[in-house]
Amino acid sequence: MKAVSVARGLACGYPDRPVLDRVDLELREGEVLALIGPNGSGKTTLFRTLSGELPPLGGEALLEGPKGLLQAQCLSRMERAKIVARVLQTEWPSWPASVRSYVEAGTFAATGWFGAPGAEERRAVDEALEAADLGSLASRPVTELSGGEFRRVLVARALAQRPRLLLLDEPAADLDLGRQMEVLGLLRDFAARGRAVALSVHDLNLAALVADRVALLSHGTLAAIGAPREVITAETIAAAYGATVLVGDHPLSDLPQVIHAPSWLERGGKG
Amino acid sequence: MRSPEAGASPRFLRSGFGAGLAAAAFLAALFGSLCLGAAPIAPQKVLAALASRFFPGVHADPIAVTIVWELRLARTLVAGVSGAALGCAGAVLQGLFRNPLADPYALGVSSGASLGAVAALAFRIASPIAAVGAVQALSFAGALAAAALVWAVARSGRSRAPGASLLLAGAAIGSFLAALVSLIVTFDQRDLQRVFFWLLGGFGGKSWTDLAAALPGTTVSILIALALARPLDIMGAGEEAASSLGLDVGRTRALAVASSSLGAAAAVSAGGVIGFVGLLGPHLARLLVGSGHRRLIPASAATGAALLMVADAVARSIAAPLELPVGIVTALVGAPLFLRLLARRGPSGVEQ
Repeated sequence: MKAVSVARGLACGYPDRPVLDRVDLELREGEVLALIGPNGSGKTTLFRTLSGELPPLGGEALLEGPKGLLQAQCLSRMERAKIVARVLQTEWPSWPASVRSYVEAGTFAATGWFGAPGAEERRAVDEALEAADLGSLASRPVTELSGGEFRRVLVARALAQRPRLLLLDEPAADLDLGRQMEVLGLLRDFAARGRAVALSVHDLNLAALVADRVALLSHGTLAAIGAPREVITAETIAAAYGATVLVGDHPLSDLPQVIHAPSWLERGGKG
Repeated sequence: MRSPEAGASPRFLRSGFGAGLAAAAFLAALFGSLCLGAAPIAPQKVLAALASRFFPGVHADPIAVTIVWELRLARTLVAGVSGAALGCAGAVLQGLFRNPLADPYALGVSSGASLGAVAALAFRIASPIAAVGAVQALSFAGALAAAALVWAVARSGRSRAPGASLLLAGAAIGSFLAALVSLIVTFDQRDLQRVFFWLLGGFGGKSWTDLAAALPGTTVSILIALALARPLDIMGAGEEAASSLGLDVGRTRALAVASSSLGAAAAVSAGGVIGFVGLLGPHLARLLVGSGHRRLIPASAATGAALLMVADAVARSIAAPLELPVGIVTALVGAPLFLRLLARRGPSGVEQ
């Protein structure tokens, strides 16, 4: 499998606040990678650096473009936007633009400052709306959507960007459990079409269900990476999160599922 | 939270009909302003006076011709281009900052212009350009200098929120320059009345020369604003998301600040510090054509121009022969209208 994004000995963060060090990681075509780790462990910072938004403090962050693997920093914003699309957790709508026009912003890198979306871009928007099940909401103002609906709009806009790599911050966070599976299914389909997907996710059970590989960030570095079974164990979770959990098997597969085991239960109940 | 009616704005208004309505309002305000004044002229007489210049065969009342062509048309057009520039600048800054409260003076432009004007009056400075008055030239220079200072100060910090830095620097530098204005006026009270009236704004006695002086700045500013339509749409997603979509956020910000400062500077130097037009114009335009900047920018220019031409017509006719400062009219009429919009829709339907 070909890597779209490669980190080699990567150190990232902000000049006055280094966040991660010694990160070696490949994001590969056809694969979903789940990034887990405690609050503040550097998941978003890593995405910012891999996408070329934030310059590395050390090491390399490479992106596979038309001319091969290049430092993400060396590519222009437009070039990067054609390779990587991001879904942020912190985005909120400013104006009551329609869902369709909001998703159409994903074609900006293809059309530029003065261009209007052509037939190909309009098809990309239609497909993205369809994939995110937003067809019936296309003319609704984005300011009137629920949090979960707006999250799907952001995923649709990223799909309309037609990237080779999709980086998502907590795409399942505001969704009910039915919608969570829909969005995760969407990401699996996207990877199955030969694209690379990486998502940060707090819910370790969702990480185990959706990801081919799981990467755990903790204590300022990439603490573990591998198949869900290898990374999500009671020991690694205790070391990274300081929480006591039990790890069992999913009834329908051998994927790990995490169950809380707080101290008050061991003492014999909530009393 | 949004008011429940926020989404219920009539949808037909958001189509081409709304754009047509904005254009019609502009033309109606232009024509109405030519009819109104100390000596009201009947619409058919105004039409004849306008036509007589182009068609020698048309018979028109010579007094009407003089009033329309020598007095009212030039000042109406100066008010119109100033209002267009203010409306456009307001739409651009609201789009840049994703904030419906941003107005063209948010970056200290009005205080800079006031300082220039007051300095010209107090220190009896001669105009560098013979055809343009010293107050006009120095207020224009002061406005641009203030915006440049705000830009430089905001950039010198290492803030991760450059948009917010701009607004804060604008507020701080604006207060500082306003204090300098007060200081000069305190020590030199000879021109108190002229300063007072200049600060409240007005288009009395504006001529074709004034129009020629105002046109370059306002035109360039509006052209840049039109070119920023799609980038400002993308900016609506926020700076980080816009950048990840491929937009050069820094360049967009620089052009937006340049466009709005130039437009506001040209408007202030032509008519003084006129409040509310740059805030109300874009809000009316958003009602008419929606929030997409491809339509919003030209519509804001049209509504801004219409508002200021109407305000100028009211200012010179309501207490004729006394002329009210136009800034009083825009605030007296604009503020209640703005509040009514807020009560009905929330700030442009924006979720707070």
